[in-house]
Amino acid sequence: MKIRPIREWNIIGRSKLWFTISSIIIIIGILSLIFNQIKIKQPLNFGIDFTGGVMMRLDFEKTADVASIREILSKYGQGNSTIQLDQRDKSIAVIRMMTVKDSTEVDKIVANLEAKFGKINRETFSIDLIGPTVGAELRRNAILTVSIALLLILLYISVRFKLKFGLATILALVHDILVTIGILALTRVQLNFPSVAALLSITAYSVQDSIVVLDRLRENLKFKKERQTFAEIANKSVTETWTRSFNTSFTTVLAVIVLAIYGGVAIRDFTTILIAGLIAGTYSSIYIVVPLLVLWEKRDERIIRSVIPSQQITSGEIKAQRAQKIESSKIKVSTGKNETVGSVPKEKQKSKKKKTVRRR
Amino acid sequence: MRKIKWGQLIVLIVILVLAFWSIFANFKSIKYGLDLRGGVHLVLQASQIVESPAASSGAAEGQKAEEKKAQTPPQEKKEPQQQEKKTAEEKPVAEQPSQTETKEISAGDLDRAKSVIERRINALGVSEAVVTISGNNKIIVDIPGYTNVEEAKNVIGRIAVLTFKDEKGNVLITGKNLKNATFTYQSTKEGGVREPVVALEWDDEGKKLFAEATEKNVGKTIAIYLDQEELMAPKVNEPIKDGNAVITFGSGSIEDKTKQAQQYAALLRGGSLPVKMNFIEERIVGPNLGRDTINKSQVGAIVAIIAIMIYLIIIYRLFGTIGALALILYAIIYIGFLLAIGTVFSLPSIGAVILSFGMAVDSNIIVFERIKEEYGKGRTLRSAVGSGYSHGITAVLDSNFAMLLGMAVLWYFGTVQIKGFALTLTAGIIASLITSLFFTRFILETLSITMQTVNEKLFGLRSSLS
Repeated sequence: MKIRPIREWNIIGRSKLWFTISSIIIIIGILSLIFNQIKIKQPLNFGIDFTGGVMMRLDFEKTADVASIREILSKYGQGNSTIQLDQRDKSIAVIRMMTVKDSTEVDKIVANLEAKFGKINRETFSIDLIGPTVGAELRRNAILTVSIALLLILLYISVRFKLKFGLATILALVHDILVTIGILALTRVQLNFPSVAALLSITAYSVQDSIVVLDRLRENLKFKKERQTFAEIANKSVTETWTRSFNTSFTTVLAVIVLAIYGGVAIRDFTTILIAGLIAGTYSSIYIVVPLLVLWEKRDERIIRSVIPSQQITSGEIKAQRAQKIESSKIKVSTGKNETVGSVPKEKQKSKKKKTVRRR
Repeated sequence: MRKIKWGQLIVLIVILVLAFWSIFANFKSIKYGLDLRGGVHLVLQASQIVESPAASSGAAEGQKAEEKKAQTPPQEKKEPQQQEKKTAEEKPVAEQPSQTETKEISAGDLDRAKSVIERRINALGVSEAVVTISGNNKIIVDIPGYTNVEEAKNVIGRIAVLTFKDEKGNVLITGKNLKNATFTYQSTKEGGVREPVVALEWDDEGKKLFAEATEKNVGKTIAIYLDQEELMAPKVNEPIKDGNAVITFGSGSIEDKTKQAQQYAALLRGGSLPVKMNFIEERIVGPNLGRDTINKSQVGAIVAIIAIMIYLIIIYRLFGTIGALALILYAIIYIGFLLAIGTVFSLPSIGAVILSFGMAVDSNIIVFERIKEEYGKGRTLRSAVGSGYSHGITAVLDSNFAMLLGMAVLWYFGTVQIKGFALTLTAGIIASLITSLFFTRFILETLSITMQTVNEKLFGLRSSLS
């Protein structure tokens, strides 16, 4: 009878890699935002819910064509409208006008289009006319709501865990939002009212994901062995929770992908945001939150004795350890490789070298 | 020795029965949002009309003014009408509403505008139209299954035409000359009984016209029309020269008459709304456009459930099968719950439902993983299940609570649609906690107690003890 060693992945040791990956994605996103600003005059593809204007889906009797529609729109000074025809049914036109003031103008335009392409189907059309002030309010409301939610969540995690845990979660959340916004800029998915709901659920989901990992870290810290570094415990924790983090997120992504397939065009933009955010959220809960915490702990003190008040170490000891740390510059955070703190039993080191990357 | 907790099973059965009952009771009347069932959605923003203060008295003064002593009745809280607070003696002091009111839209004005709009929409002959006040200056009008937006806007947006007609139908005078209409009390000639009345007040032109009209029609009725609808046809008792008249209500109890007088006063005033309404948002959706989305998302929900069930069974074997069963129960409880609270399904809330299905299994996965881990450390299945729950539960509760916190913020600060989304997700979180704590836990604990030998392959378990 023997105890099988727990296989560990070296996740914390490659923190730099994870941070780099995230940075690259975020930088690509920011570049896309700038590119969009130059090219389409707005950083993201804001829909009329944000910008105001008119969005029409018109189902004509006859096949329509973009050039003729634009010609008619030009008569009303709407030549710069976005016009799209349905891929499968060319008699369905989706038209977006930016600067329409009232619906009488819209009616004139529709009447003109009807004269050319036949009556529109009153069963399957839609016209949205949004005033310019509505969007500003929506934006303000969304930012306010997210800020308050973030503050409350920070408070909650600080109470249930530690302030640092809360800060790391919030930073990861900012990461998720940046990544998602970057992907939105890159794909130019149109943002409308439901997108706000999607973005808000991403924030909630990301926090939920991080908490599952943090919960394990909290537990492992409680039962930590002598001389175990924070980095070691953190690495152990993320390895242990990796499978469940993946599986919980995968089932959710699975549901959202099904929604994207069956939900039709109306729901597709919504699901794109969700999928991007879910993946970013899962990634960040493992590869951002915990490495961030390790980075902080490393800066503060090597050994996390302070977590357990009874084992409080003196400030002198911490200083000594810090000095030790500075001497050995460019230490890798990884478990096993980090030999600066105390002496890790040789047996243990061996077992760690046997780590395999395969895990079910 | 742990015992089987039958109590959990009973709670679960009760919840399931309630859920089934809710589904059967509400299934035929599932409410869909305008984006799915089609209709007209209008948002109106009120702005103050800048008026020059009128010179003459604002108090209602009838031909029996000397007898009148107005007072504020207790029923009047809903409609702030400054004027009725005044007694007849104070009346010469000019106190027009346009003077005393600030530029802000008062709640009373918005309320009045709302009731006028409601009345006008009913004239369209549509059912289920909903008029709601949003924020401090907006009115939202939702008319399901209706697409004639021009007609709707005309009806809502037009300035109500108040006309006074004689018995032959000739228009004697219109609402544009009516300066004010207020609800008040007056004493009757016979005794000192206070009687609720509507006091009319005319401008200079109106006074002349009204004097003529009443002179010609003494003993006859003058019908008052709001748009095409006859509101009432009071009888003219005597010519009214000074333009100040009261309308009395003949029969009925004081309460009835008070109610009537209040309502009519508001309606007559509504002919000249004190606020200007602008349409800032208009959405029209054809009735068949969303039907496709409804059908597709129903299929989508079923496919999503099946996909998750298959994944669970592959990864977690027998545990996964229990989790898959739990997902079915979850779907029943969740849908039952949503129908019971009268959820209106719109695009975002359908998204929330399917997202919830994905998250529903999360707490089970967390616990399954924990049990596998504990078993891997060399524990027995029974002990692993026990410690799987006692350890896993903190992660489950903490993560779900953080989610609920986020949703509470959304609900509190969000607009109507966002509120719906937050509520749908909240219901999902609660339903998932119920299934994982009452169903999965019960089954796992019962299994671990009753099973004599553990087939590791069946459970997808691997013990370190070999």
